[in-house]
Amino acid sequence: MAAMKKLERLLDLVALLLETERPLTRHEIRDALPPGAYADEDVSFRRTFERDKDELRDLGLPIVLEAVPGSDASRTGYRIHRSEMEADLPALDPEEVASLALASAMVGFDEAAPDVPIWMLGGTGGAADLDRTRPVAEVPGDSVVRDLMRAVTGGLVVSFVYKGERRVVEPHRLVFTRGHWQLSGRDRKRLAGRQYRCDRFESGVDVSDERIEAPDVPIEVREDHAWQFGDAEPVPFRLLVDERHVTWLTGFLRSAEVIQRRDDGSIIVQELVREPDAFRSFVLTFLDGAEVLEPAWFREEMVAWLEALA
Amino acid sequence: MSGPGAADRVHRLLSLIPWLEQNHPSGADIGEVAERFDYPQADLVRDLTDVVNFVSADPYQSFLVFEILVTEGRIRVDRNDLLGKPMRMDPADLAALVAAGRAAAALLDEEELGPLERAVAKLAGTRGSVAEAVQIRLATGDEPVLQVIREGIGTGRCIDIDYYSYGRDMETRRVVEPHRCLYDGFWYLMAHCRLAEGPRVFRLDRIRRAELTDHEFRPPDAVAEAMDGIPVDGSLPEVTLLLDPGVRWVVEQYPHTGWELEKDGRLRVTLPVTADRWLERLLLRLGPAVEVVTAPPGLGADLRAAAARRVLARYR
Repeated sequence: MAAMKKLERLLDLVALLLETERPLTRHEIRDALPPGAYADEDVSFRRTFERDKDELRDLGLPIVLEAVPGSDASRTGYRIHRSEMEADLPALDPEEVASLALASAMVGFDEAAPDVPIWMLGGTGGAADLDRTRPVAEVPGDSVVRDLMRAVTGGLVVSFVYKGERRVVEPHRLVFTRGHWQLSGRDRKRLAGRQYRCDRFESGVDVSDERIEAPDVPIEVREDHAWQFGDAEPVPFRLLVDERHVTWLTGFLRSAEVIQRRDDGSIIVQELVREPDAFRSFVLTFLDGAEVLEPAWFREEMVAWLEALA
Repeated sequence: MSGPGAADRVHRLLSLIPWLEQNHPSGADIGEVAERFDYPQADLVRDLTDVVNFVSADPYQSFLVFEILVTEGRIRVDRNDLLGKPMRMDPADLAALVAAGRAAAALLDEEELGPLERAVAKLAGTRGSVAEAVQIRLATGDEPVLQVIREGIGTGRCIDIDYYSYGRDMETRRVVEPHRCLYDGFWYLMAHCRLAEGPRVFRLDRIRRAELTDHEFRPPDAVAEAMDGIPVDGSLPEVTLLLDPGVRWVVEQYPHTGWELEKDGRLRVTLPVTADRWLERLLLRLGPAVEVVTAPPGLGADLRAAAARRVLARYR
């Protein structure tokens, strides 16, 4: 019956902290709960109380520590402000809640992440049953992603190690795109916008208590290809691509302009390139199914690269 | 004790009680409430009658804050002096839900869209700019192919596809029995391939043409788990490479049996080779940044040289 007793104690604790008109010290809390809720012995009581408080905070209950009025400043106590606990969500009709349950079943976070509690919206209970025709997307949701979600929605400054260096970042956006989570924000050391791929973090994320104002113009996550990053002036490159690659290429290179469609099904596309090395790497994935046409200097570089390997 | 732990039950009860009071003042079926809040029914009945009805904010339990009536399969809140509204949702959970809702909208049929769009708009509206902070982008341009496949799965009919095999660098026409579509960085189709006479996984962005046929198939009782990945158990040929530090992405991107840092800063890694064309691409792209240390006959420097000559022929 230990679990029943704990449920009883936690609910009584929530009721007490909600109803109190001033912060209550730990010992006042023990005295105010039914006898036996907490141990009389101080060490054991303190350990149980701390664990209860942490568990309730993890659930989102805003238990705050405040100075007890009328006492010296070092005397602090706990309470829950009703306004910070109650939902400010709009009412959703059953159809709308069901559609959200379906959405979260179709686009779910992987096993490492807890399910989003749809039932908090007066929801449809567990995950919606998906029929086999539903496509399903599994999105990684490890502790780095969860911490970044909390930071980006709360406007909290984060730090983490990336490319061998500790970064301190004001987070603006967390976007899952092309199979990876990307964080964008303002790098405090560089005083400029930056983007980081979250699966390449070399440490966990430290979420600080420092809160930033919502940026007027947030730094958005860019979906540029590797050859489009950098500060160099973009140069138009032309590529001849065989028919078997055309469907994939035109889907992948949305920014590219199709210059010519030839009778054999091949096409010539033009793409703006800032980083030629990255573009060479991309072109070589087609093996002999594609050929650089322009600029001439890059075509020559391509030939030299291949001759060195032949 | 089965079901959710004490803290999870507190969480659910603090939402369930005000929700029930507001939405079902004359009571609701307890089975439906249990299902809605993912709460085992027997636990719910016991917790409400034995615990919730005795919750008190004073030590003598002289002031009981709830009176919940559980009778004849129904549940009714007769008194709730504690909770005004359901509990606030964690902003990160809410942002994740809005992001999932927006991403899923791209995958729903027109007639299904309405409720989801309304729900997402309502939730996003309460969070202002924060609602934009987390986004999930799944739209890839593969949606027309996805639509054909969904119809095939739903009606139990085969799909006729032209598929480009990246590993073999060639296109083939195949008839496949579609089983399931999954997104894992790209959209994939899990299917039985009638050409290969076995289960295969196809990447949707490499399907050049997809048409529904009249050939019917019997859906499998269970669809095999999604991509198991490339085995690194030695069942495939393996090459060992020395990589310059600048091309460390290779060990992040491809399955390998492990890597070591050499004294000169290079990385020694052993990779399984799924197809010759895959290795050709990798070696040509890496160029002088890679040294082949060991490779089975035909998969080392010779393979790279032959591939380079073949590509060079286009330029001459």
